[in-house]
Amino acid sequence: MDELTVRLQRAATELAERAVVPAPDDIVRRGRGQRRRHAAGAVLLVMALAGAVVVVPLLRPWEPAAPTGMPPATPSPSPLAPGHRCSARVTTAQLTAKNITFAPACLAAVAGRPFRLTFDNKEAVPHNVSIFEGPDASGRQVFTRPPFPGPRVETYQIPALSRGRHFFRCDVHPNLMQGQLIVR
Amino acid sequence: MADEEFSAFYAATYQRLLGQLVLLCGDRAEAEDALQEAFARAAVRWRRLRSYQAPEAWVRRVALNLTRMAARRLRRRTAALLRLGSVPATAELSAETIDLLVALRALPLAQRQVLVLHHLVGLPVAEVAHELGLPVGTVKTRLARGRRALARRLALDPEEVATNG
Repeated sequence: MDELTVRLQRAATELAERAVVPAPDDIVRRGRGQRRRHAAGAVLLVMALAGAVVVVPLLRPWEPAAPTGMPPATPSPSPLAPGHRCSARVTTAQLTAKNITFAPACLAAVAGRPFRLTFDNKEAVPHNVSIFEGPDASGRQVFTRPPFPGPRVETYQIPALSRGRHFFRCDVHPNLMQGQLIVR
Repeated sequence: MADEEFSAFYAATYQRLLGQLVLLCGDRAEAEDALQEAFARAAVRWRRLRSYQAPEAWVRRVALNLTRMAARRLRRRTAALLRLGSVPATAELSAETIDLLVALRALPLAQRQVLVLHHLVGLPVAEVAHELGLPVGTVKTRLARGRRALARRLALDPEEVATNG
């Protein structure tokens, strides 16, 4: 037996002898507790998925909204502002959908001024854009259009919005595709 | 509460496995946590595990995977601790064991794993490769490098260490 093996064995024996061994009941309790937590997590996940399957089609949030009160659009000749840093003074914005993700996830607009939004759906999966007041979809919906499959580009005229944070999402993939629209 | 057979298995193997794991992961608290977690998983699967040829190998393997995951998660924290010169909580251990722990901790986890499994647990190279899901050649390379590095750090005779095992 070589010296290294001997050293390792001596050290392992010393470590083993000095180990504090927890009671077997504690170990069993730890295992059972974990199994219960996993089971509870699985039940919650199934419930959440079932809820999404039932609720989302009922709401049909992509039904066209009444266009009443929408001010006339004022298209701008300025180039597209990507809005990655949410810089304001954007009168034309571009949004891309690819791999079930919006890019960019943050857009900016000027308060009280309508703007044009070019929405480029690069994939065959249907997507749309809905905008809500406030930081999430619980606020008032201020814009929506029906989902469409790509590859296709649609240009939307977004009505003048009030100052503050807005939230946008794809109604078909509300948890995966969402972003912030900052109106200054 | 605990099945008698499981309790006996646990009592017979816990300390041995802990000795191996501490050397493998270089941290006693982390080894204890991984091993207790592995035993907790074994406890709820005991009906199935008891029919295995070597339930001890199952527990070691689960604990090994857990330490690997923990190592990844804690790499940054460990690096910070090492920078700060933190000493492992091994005050009650002999100087020889502390030297070995310090030397092992300086090696990459990949080398520690093969050294402990081959030299301490006594698994042949092919079984070490199977246990870690690695090609035999990789295990041999890691063993050779690990042995050389350890011999250097512990001032062992490199010739003897390299030619044996």
